[in-house]
Amino acid sequence: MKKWMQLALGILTGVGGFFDIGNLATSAQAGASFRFQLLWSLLLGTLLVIFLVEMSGRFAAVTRKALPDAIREHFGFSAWLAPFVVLTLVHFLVLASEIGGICFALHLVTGLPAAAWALPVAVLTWLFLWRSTFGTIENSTSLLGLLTLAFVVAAVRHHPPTGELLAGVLPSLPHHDPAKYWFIAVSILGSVLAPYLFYFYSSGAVEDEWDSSYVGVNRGIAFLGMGFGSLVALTAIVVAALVLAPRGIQVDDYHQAALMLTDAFPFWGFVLFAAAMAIACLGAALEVSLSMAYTTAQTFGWNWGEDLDPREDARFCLVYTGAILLSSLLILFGIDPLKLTLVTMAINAAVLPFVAIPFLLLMNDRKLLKEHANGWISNSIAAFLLVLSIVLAVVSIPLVIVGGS
Amino acid sequence: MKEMDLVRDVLDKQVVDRDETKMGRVDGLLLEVRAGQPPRIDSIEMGFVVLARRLHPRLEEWLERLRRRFGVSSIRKTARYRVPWSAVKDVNPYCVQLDVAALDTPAFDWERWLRDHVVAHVPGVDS
Amino acid sequence: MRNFFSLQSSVARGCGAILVFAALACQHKTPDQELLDKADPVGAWIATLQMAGEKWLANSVPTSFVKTTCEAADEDLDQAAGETAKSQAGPAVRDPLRQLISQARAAGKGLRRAAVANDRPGAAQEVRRLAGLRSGFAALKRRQEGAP
Repeated sequence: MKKWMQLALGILTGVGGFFDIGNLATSAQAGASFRFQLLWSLLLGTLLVIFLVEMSGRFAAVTRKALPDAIREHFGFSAWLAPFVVLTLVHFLVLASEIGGICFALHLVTGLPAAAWALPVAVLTWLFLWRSTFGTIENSTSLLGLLTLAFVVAAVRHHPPTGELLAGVLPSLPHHDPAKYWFIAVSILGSVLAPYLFYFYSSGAVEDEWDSSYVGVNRGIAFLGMGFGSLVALTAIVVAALVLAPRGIQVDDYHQAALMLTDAFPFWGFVLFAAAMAIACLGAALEVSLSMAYTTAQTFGWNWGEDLDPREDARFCLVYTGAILLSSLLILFGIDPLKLTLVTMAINAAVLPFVAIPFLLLMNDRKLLKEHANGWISNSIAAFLLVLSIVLAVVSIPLVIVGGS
Repeated sequence: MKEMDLVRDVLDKQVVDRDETKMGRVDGLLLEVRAGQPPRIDSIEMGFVVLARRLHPRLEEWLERLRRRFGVSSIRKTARYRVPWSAVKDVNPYCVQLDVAALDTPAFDWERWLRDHVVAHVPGVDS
Repeated sequence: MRNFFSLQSSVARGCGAILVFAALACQHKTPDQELLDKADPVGAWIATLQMAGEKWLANSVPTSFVKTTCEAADEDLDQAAGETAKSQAGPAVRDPLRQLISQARAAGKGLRRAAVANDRPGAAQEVRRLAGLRSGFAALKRRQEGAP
């Protein structure tokens, strides 16, 4: 396929694949409780994730190695062990949250309890991975994920007040409930800067057999794919602000979020929300479980690859199988899916230094990356990200306790 | 004679076999200390037990004890798979290549067992 | 590398501990204010039930959704009722709040019944009731905010 076609596909999959349960939960909460005031948090996260994804893709394209592979090799097993354990833990929690999202969407359309859907959803997710190739998974779920553009359309239909919107782009102090405000701000950052995202992206680049000639395509996908993708999350905040906030509905339960699209689409809104939620979460669940398998297999040097038959990489396949099964148990046993998601997003933010620092260090290794090592722009962003991630690591857990009730 | 930094270029490197199938990683190195001469690489080691030793020697003992208790030796014959340096075909920036076939080695014991006893029985697998 | 990580984690733990204590120390609220803050979800659920009812009447959401939303609301309202009973707040706040919660639960059950029986006038009545409860809750909050 020509490079420009791959760029176009990459942007589309980036847009369709951006939105997941973390964005849905945090955007709905942010818009419902604080209207447009938290837009700055989403925009900040988007800017940083664009650079992280660009670096991740550039690294994989130039070195032909994925991140876990390269980090163990360069820093040694002892140094990689702690980030690896932490990364596996957050992967697991995010996977459970995504599965919870799919189950809730099915509950919306069928009326059957979400917990009842846990095992069927687990089997479906697993079956996709067992039978498909990497390209099929990436393209099908992300292109279907373009359904989440329903939020963009809904936001436009609501004619948001541009003055207030623009004011939300700049950080401001909350007028009420500061603990909740900062908790949601941190959770938004955690949902956008999810570690699984940029780790998965590097393995994906290796699966797609990228080489140095893809550096340009990668840049386009990172900026345009992630950039436009975050528009979905942004408009979700806007829609929540214009539908839920005026009625005094804050989002403590997914049922409250489910009403979001019914003003803009009186007939289809409910179904659109459920469908968008199910597809977005399924796509993410596939990515996260694959990411767990990639990370584990690469750490121990096992054979890996979604394009391989399971008989050729049994250990790799059993990692995602086990991960999906175990995380679905959390939903089966009735853990509140929204609370799980919000706490997970805060943890995503908290662990960022551990999982990003080795990566950012590697981006400056000139022996590895030669002329593609980080320049001053990327390094400035990296330095800022480093400081921010340490701040987030310190504040997020206390905020969960104080603001997340 | 090519210069090689053992820690940077060999340790923790991906190990592949003759056909470039991934087998594992260089979890440990064994050096031979000779009197009056510089040390020489004897062999590379692969295995969880080897990794455990790098973290803490007691961890290694504990892991070995677990192995014996749960009798996984029927699946994986040796906790430490030792490969003599003579079997190393190539060391390059991507991997350490061994002149073996992965399927014949202990490194693939678990992989083989899982393939034959678990994967083969899953309905979605074409035979 | 190892030293760097362990230093980082001990700094993080220290700062985290300080922050938690600071945050807890700043919880300088009267029991009345505290209860009303905790009661925010009550207002949200009343508004949710009202909107769910309105949307059902407009054929925007299915009956099953109204059913499950009423069930979810009832669970949280029950919890709120329990917290209200335990609270140290004065009767001027506790009693109206307790009444609001029980009326909201009744309206929720009524809405559920009406939706399942396809009783549109019944549902409309519950929606009106919920709208009234919503104003009642807003008034209660305003009174408390206005108080010294």
